[in-house]
Amino acid sequence: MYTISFDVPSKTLTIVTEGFWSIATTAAFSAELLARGTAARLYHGRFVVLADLRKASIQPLKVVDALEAMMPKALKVTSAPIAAVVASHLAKLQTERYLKAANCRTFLDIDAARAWLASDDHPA
Amino acid sequence: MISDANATWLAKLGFAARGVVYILVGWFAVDAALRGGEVADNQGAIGSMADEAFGPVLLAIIAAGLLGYAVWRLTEAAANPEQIGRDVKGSLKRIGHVVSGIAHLILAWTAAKLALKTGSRDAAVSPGDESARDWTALLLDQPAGRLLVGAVAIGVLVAAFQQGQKAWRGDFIRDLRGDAPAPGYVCTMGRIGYGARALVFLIVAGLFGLAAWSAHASDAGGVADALEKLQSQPGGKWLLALTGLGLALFGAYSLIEARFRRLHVDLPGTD
Repeated sequence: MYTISFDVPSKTLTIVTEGFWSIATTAAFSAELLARGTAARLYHGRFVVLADLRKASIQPLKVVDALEAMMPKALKVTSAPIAAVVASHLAKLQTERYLKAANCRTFLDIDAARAWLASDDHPA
Repeated sequence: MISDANATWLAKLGFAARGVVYILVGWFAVDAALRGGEVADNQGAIGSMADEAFGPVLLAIIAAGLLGYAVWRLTEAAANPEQIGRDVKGSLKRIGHVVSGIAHLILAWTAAKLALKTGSRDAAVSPGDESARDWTALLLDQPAGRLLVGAVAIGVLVAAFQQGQKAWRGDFIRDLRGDAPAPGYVCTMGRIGYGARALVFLIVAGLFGLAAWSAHASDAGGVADALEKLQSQPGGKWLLALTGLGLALFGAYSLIEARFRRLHVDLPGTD
């Protein structure tokens, strides 16, 4: 359903998701993401996030609501750029409903997402 | 099997239902302009009835009426009782009837779900805007998606033009029956109402056009977004209030149509 990994040299937290999620999956994901993110910040300092959602399905409304509820806590862990990559315009629209903070951006192309994370063109 | 007479009665109820919805949309717009409330689209206005006393009963009546209206529009497009020509103008008119029928079917479904309490009431007052963005995203994901969204923009622009034509000419008044011509103020109500609808449709067409240009579904929008765009202009408070008043007058004219409009539903397979 999801994997969360941290690359130390690039200080990038990478999330890969796939399939349909349930509320239970979302809750487990949120807990693990916040724990891993907090640990990464403590040990490695500021980090960026790359969320590869290209294999994820269009999620039920309750899952999107749960992810939106998680975001305020997630944004306290990192204020650095967060890039999500999705496979369709509909997925992009859905993702932008919860990734709407100034440091978040959703892409249809993973190279564009990586280039944005590596660039200096980020909101303060 | 429902008879033509009953279907005609339901279509007239549909004009009344449409009238109530537009009066509510107009009311929300004026309230937003003058007292800082939130604008609502047609679905949001229907949703607002759910919490009222006798809400489910009112919603059931609204649902039946909107269904009747939708059936009338669809049978008009299919049977062509007005003998609309097969030229481009005539074809566009019949396509418009189909689109209107489908749009009112969706509204009827929204009202029915709320009446039966089988669907949860959307917390948003503009679910129509979210639907517009969702459908835009679906179209953008198709081959030639931007062209498809552009075609939608053109379709809405044509509808805006038709509404504007009605406002300008005022010949819609001929659809009302009666021995004496309708009072002048009735025609004025209708012209202001159609004018307000033309303005809203024009802005919605612009939003779809922007979405097609930018390839961003989030740029698309519906009635509530259009009203919010008006509100954000210089002098927006009064622009929104006047447009809301216009939409409410359209609703009032629809109530008059429910009583006096000449129409007959000719269901396939009935005498």
